[in-house]
Amino acid sequence: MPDLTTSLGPLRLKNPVVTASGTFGFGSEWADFYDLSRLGGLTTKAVTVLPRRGNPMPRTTETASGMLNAIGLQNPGLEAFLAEKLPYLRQFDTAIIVNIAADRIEDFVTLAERLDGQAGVAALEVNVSCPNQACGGLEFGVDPALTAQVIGAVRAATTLPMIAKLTPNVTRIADIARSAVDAGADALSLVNTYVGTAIDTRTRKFKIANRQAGLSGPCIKPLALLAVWRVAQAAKAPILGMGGIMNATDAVEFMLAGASAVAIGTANFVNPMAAVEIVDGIEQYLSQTGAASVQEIIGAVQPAL
Amino acid sequence: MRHSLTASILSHRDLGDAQFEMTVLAPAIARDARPGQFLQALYVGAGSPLMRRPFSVFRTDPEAGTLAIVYVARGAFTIGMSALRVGASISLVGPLGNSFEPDPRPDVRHMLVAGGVGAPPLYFLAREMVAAGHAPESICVINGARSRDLLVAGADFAAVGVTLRETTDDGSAGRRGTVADELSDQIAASGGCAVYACGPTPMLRAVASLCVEAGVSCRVSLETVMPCGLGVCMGCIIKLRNDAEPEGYTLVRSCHEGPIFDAAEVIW
Repeated sequence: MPDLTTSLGPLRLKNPVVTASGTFGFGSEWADFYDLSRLGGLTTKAVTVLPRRGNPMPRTTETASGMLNAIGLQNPGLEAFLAEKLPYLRQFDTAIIVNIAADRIEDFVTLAERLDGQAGVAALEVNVSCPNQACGGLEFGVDPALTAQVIGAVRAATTLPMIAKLTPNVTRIADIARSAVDAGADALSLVNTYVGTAIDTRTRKFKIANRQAGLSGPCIKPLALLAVWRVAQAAKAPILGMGGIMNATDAVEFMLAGASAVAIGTANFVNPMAAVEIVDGIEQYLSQTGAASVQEIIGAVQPAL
Repeated sequence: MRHSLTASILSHRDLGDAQFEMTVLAPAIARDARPGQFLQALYVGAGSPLMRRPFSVFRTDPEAGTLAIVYVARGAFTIGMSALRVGASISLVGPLGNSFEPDPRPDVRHMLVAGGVGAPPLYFLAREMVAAGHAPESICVINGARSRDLLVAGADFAAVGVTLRETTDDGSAGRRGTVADELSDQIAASGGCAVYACGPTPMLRAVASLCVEAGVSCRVSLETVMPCGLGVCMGCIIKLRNDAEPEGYTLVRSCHEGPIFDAAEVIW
């Protein structure tokens, strides 16, 4: 049986499949479908210092081979997460990665300090794709210096493994990636959603109340795959690859491109069993191709000629 | 318990007027589904949709392991679905959400108010109530649509033996007017009522405000977009009145805390 273990810097995973933030709640909704201990890891919905009500409806719409969402980080807030969500998650033998979001660096620090040392929290995933209050709403993650400020501040506030989640809505993602690693990120997760929108021609209204939304699903997979490959070439940190992964073949592609682990997002909505089917599928792929471990395929893509 | 399974299509009847009734073999869901609950369906075929769509359960036969849905082929998803043949597969996740439960008060008159494609879960409720020993005459179904061809499940309601009142906006069948017009008269004519409603949002709003004004208990099944149906995506949020909150409301997931809510609590 091939060895499925992998790691994202100091974070050890028993297999390379993690659920992506915002597509899996805080885990309890999946109790009927499978034992969460089958996952390599589970990334929580973004947690902010205070509860957030999120954006007005409508918040989502399907597009060709994808979906747009503008949920607006609706979540119960840090203290409710610790009191009501974390105790449930703690009982599973899987890496609990807490996604944290804020629009001020102080709030990122508060989140990191409070989550540090909490039993059951395996790592932090820092969502740098939020608008930065101090810079007129410019996203932290579109600027290498701002990214470094956030990641550096979180680094100083926690000893937990820290993953920087990068936005693909930039000209040169490798520059942002290097900046995050230099500032202390142990690993990089990419990609977050691509920004887009959709319009109803009958009503002549935006289909999303927020107008701008994040595009996910199989339509972004080729874009995400290239971003992962580029960052793998440029940054010296392990990658949690994501973006439209629907099945084990997609997952293996990301690993061949350089991802040490993969995250499953929109696919959870399409097929509640997707993540565990992908664990099984990766194992089959390794067996069928004679690979002894997941490590053998990470970054193993070859030139076409 | 929620199940994710691949069901095979046993029959797929074209009911005319773009309405279809699909019966599938899905024993686990047929066993567990309650009236008002829904399924998230997805198929491989024309249009190749990515995301699932919610469909209310129309009827179940737990012994045979089958269940049926009735739907109108109107958008790309349902038009593609209507082309599926007997023997083909459809992927189902369910049963999901809460259910309509009969008001336990004795001597209450149960008013089931359906608008267009809102009829299937109320047919399931009527059938289950009669099977559970409710007198058919204690159940009144008000089934309405814009016109005769858009009425759903009329013959099925009649077969259960309940009192059936039909309304159409254009008068092409039953009373000319809306289900709210008919409900208003029915409430005025009889004593204690319990209302269960499913249909388009404007209809539900009218029914809800009528019931709140008359002090009649009313449960409404809301129609919203449901990207996941499983309670995680936060794409089907609605507001429920809650005076304990500073804003005066609580946000809930239509797919998880609902889709059925107390009409007096819904902020439309």
